[in-house]
Amino acid sequence: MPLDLRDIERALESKLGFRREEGAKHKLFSLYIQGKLVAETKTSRGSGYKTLGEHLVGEMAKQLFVPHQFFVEMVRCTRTRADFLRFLSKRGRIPREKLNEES
Amino acid sequence: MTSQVETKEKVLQAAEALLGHPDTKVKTTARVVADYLRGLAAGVDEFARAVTPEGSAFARIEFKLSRFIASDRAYAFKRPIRVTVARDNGYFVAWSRFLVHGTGDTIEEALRDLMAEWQRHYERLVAEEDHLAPPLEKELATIRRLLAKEQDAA
Repeated sequence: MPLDLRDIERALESKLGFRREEGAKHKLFSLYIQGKLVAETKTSRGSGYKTLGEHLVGEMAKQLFVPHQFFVEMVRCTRTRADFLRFLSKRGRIPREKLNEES
Repeated sequence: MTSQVETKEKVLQAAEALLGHPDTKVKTTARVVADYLRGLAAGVDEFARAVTPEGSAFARIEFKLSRFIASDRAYAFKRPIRVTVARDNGYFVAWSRFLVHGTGDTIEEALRDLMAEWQRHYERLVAEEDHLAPPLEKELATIRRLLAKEQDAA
């Protein structure tokens, strides 16, 4: 299911709390929870990347440690940051105490 | 039964015989295939165009790479790493077992981007080693287990 690049970047930065770093060719998004680097992903600059296809969306989901559909739902605002952190915590991606400190 | 070596020799002979063909397309295909069979460096996009009817419009290709050659360094692995490049939505995207991907307008661009991004990813993990969540600690440990050596690309 293709996704709009602007929607993805907006979700990563504004909704999920990723830090954005601007590069020449890419934008790097990193998620820190209580000082720990939890995940990082990137988007590419250029007019050819306005809509991202299945493979690229799938890779970004993998880098965020969530299933493809979960990633789509986060971008489409049917999943929240709290859902995301709970998902990561349940699978041991972040310690539960870190999650408690967040909430 | 014909061995793989005999088959390779026969294909190479056939390709060499076509090097003087009047049709430029046939000649180019023969040159690319012959270079590849001689073990010379063959551009991935050029090779794909030569041996597939769809050329670089094909959907997916897989490689096994023993080395990632980034901008200023090369990284050799103990075992070859499977790399996939697929046409996505007007561009190519390249990925492997690591948590990073590359993009580009051609297969080679996507591969080069993957390797450059992989280096950035690895260096970031090393720099943040004391501040990594469990899955990225595991990623760094996996990379270290698989890496044989680093060397200057030059």
